[in-house]
Amino acid sequence: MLPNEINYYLILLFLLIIIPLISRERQIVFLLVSSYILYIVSNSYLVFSLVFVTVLTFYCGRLIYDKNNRKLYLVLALLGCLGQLSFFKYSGFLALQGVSIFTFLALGLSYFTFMALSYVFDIYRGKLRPTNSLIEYALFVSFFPVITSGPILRAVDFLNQIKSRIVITSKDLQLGLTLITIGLILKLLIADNLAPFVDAIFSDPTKFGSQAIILGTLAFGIQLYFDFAGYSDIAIGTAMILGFKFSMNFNNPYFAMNPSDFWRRWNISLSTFLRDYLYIPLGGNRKGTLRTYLNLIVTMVLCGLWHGATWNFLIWGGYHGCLLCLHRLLPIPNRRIFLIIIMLLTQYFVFLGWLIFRVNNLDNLIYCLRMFLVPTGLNFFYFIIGLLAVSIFILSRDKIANNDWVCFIGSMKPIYWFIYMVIAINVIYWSWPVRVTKFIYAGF
Amino acid sequence: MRNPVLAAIIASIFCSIIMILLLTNTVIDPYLKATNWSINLFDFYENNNEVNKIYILGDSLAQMGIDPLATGDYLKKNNESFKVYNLHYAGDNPYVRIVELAHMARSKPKIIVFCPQYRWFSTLYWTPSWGFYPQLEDRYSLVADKTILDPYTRSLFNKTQLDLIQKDSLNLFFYKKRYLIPSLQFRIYEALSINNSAMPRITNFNREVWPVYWIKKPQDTPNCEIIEDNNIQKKAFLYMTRYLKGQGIHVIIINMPYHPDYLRTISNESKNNYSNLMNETGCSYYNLDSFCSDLEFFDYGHINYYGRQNLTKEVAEIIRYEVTNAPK
Repeated sequence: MLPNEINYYLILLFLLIIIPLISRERQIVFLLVSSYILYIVSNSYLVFSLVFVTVLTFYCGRLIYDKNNRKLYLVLALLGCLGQLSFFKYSGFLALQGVSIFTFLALGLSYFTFMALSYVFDIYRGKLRPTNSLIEYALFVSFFPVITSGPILRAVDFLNQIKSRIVITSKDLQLGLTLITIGLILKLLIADNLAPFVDAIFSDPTKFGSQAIILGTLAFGIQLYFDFAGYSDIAIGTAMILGFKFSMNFNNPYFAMNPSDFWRRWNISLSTFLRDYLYIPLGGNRKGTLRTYLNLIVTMVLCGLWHGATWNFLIWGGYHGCLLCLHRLLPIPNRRIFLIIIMLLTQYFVFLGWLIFRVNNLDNLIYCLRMFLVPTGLNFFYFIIGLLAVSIFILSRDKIANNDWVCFIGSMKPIYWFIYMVIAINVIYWSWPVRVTKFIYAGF
Repeated sequence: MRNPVLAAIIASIFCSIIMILLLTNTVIDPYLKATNWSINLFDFYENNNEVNKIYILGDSLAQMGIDPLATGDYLKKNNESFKVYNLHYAGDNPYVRIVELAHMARSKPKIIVFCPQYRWFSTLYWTPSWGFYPQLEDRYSLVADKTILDPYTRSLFNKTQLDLIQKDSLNLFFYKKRYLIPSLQFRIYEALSINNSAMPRITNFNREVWPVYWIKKPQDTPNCEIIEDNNIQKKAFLYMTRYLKGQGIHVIIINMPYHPDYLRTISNESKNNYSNLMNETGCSYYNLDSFCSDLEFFDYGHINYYGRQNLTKEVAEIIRYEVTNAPK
């Protein structure tokens, strides 16, 4: 059950009515049961996958903490979790190569597996004491707002927040609802309206020329951002209403000044997970220049593979690894004009990356790259429009990036916030498509 | 929890619901009522109390081929007083039209003239998957709360199709929101007195003059192989004709004219299969497939102004003959 379905909000309303009336222990049980019911409704028997990961990592965490055979239990947890992830996620890839195994994917598998692994890693690194309560831990792994598309939570952040009774405050309610409405507007008004245009181009890109491929790539980059950022806002907003505080998952990624900056702003929970649990343990930048580049490329290739078992994700990951290396390799003069050029170049390369991300057929990808990199038959009018858009983009950067609109709206006086809500509800209602479009990242 | 935020939430939901209801009822509904063919047709079936009325059913070939007013005038001159309605629908076919069957029968026309064409029953052309979902959605989604399907008709559709044809009122209400922008545009055009091309189509059935041009050789030669199977179109057509006859309505079938060049592409076997099907209905059947000369067409089957005049007269004469000679 996804946040663009009406039932999601009916369940949320039900939780909001019940939670303030019951004790802390019951609140946790109630949230856990609700999360599992929602998961089973969406995913049927594949709930066993969720139970398996939860139980395995919970007990491995405790055994790691006991100091005996720590590595053995860490490896056991890793093998169990990643083995299952590979089995479900990459058997489809083998099937494509002619080896048919299994093609079902448990909803949110990549997310809850990574969340569970972060718990085990943190215990192993001595940064977290394992919880004694399987129920609390199970709630962390299955928490319904984030299970389908993240953000990837850290156990330490989550478990600390359920140590005391959940209190729903009017401030959280206002801010949470603001986030949910903004998320829905991003998803329904922008992402879903771009989807038909993007799908029409990339269903058979060889029918189109450079102009359409470039516009399609731009539209897909915008669609993907608003779709995923919209989901993240809804998830964080839902959690906030229920009394949980999580960090934002996006921070204006298309205003990034360079590739490293982009990854500090895009899917922050995933990029920090990869940084903390993969890049740094591999040695990070502490073991010489060559090793740093290798670590960057390995991390980003695995990041690509996390998205799915197709060649384009692998290439996309490697491509971003190379961009990060290139950024380290090339000195950038600290003058404003150079910074602007680098920012525009960064976005050019990021969108080129989205083209690789979107086209999963290798022949089509080669064709699209040719059309994107060596454009032909471009319309002068579109060129001017593009130039104007880029100028506005540069000029508005500081204004948009430095303002926290969510906080501003979420802390308005109730009378003004009421006006915002009426407008937001109407925008959401009228732009809500008759046929629900899936969240792109719910498929990963 | 402090009350002002909760009050703001409840008030905003309440105000939004009122705004949504208002916009739907005062902007979208009147627009749909004014422009939507299906809504008007279902209203027409329900509210037209004329006793002596004739319905002409068919696709664009019937739309361009038969002038209902001229037909009515011809009958009047021959002492037969009937109001004639051309209830065509571009791209019509029995499988889609069958959804209207119950309403059509309840409105009690004296005569129904079916104007089929070979393509309706060609297995390759009219398979249920061929553009069928959008066609059903466009045509019946807005009257989904009114459609009545008997068990046999229901059995012809799959679940997805039935969900499209029969929505509950709440889903229909949500569905209407997709018409907000065109309805606002319609309202603005009306307010500015700009001539709007989206006029109620039902009022346009009486006089339509088509341009006088033609081509010698049809460019569009759709596949017309009619094999001796029992495809869904045939099932629907047989059921409709028998059902209407069972309701005491006189049914006439007139095979529409084709450009001679196109007619030559249809095999004798297909023509025989088609003819057998028409005879199987037990209704009066008139084959006018070679009624018009090549100068009376502007493509494979759509006739021009001259053809329309000639065909209308012929159809009117058939109706007069049937009215005079049919068993009472």
